[in-house]
Amino acid sequence: MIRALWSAATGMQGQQLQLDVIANNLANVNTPGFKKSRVEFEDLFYQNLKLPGALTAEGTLTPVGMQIGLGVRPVAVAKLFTQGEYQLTNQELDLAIEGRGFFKVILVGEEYYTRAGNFKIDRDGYIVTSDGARLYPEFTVPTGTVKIEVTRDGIITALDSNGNVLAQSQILLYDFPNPAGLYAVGRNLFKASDAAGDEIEGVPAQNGFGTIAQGYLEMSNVDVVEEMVKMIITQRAYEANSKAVLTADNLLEMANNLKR
Amino acid sequence: MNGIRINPHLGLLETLEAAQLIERKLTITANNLANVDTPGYKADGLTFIEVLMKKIGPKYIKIYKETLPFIRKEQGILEYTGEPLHFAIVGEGFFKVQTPYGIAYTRAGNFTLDAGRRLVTPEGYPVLANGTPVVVDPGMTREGFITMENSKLQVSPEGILSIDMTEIGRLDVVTFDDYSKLKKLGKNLYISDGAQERRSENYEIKQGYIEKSNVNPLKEMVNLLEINRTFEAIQKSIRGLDEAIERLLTISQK
Repeated sequence: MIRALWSAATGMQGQQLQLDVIANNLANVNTPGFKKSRVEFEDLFYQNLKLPGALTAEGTLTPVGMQIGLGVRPVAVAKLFTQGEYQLTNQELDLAIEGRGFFKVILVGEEYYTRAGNFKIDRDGYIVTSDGARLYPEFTVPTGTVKIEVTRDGIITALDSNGNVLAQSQILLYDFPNPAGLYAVGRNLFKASDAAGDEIEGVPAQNGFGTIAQGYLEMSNVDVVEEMVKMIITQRAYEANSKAVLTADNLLEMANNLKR
Repeated sequence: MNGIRINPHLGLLETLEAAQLIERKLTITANNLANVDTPGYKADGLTFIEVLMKKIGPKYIKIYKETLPFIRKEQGILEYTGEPLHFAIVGEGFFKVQTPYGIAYTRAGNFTLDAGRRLVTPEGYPVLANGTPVVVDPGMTREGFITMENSKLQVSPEGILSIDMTEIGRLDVVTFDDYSKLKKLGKNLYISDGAQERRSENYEIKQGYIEKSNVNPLKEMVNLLEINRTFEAIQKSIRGLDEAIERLLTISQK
């Protein structure tokens, strides 16, 4: 009875975590460059009550063993790096990556990676994220610039009112063998990790990297309907597990009432 | 002394045994419900078989209940995730994975790539194709590629993995003649425990899908009701026996 109580409790805990993840996905439905997460479950270990091939009361060998599972365990909250939708913004510093890759930004000396391409210009002319993290390699927009152009292969050009080139540079993209292993730090930023593998540097539209679309933003890849359906399933699964707890509790109560 | 000989414990022992079996059933039901959202999970079931037991005491014959566990093999429903590294098996078979416990088998196809670009389970165990871990190397088929969209990795219904139409291996999808020998290891894994594996014939691999748990919550709810009522009946019969023995003892005191 105690086993059933704990098995069902792990089920409830797992569904609770699932709900936390769904809530966060839904909260970020409008966050540029946000990638949805999903909880990956696996069954917990099994208790072997009887091994296959044990001797029965009759003297024959049991054909099958007796294993009792002890619940469920969330093994990972994995980010799904599917492409988000594009939103046309016509802002010249809104850059969307179509395909693989991340922008690299430097914030207080630390390297971060992001797919949120809503860049701005800070007071020193650097291209920065909304949080002030500088795009790497750094690009300074010279004074007198009226137009910034970014080609699909990542060449950024600052032009003055006469169409003269004031500065030109190459935006680089970075990727990892396993982006799902990146460490999400919030503020649309990711940090490299051992699980993600070694950083790969590349030029947009080359060697498998994605292209850059100027004037577009990559929106969140959260699908509201999908999350709603998941929420229903989560709630019902939580309820079902609570019923198992209730039944175990009933049984215990009845057992306790045996002795008058 | 030719009076009736009653073993006052007889009934009590049997009800106790029944209570223990019911507890076991509850544990299995609770575990099924806990795994209602575990990919590739196959529900456990329990049937009771009656075994005649003769060997206790000279005249003592009693019916002994054995439990016979089984794994429900029914196909779980498919959930569309759109992730190119998620594979579902429709039909018979298991993916083969390399684990620290040796070769294990799984139906959970929520795979990902690790730092070394190997196709792995969420625990990090490599998935095997032609007996070796699958390495998804972008440069393998196109010169100079250092990264690529995961969707470039294609899997055919037969499990043949390819990048840009170039075959890189065939997933080992195996099945067993004797499923009853399979042992659940946890972590969505099975080990064969002596059962002979063979290549599965009747299957289809679906890319971008995950096979969900085949636990039917309705069935499990009915099980819970049944368990509750059966246990109540057992409790009533223990009470009844208790009262009968009490009366017997009062009569004998007179």
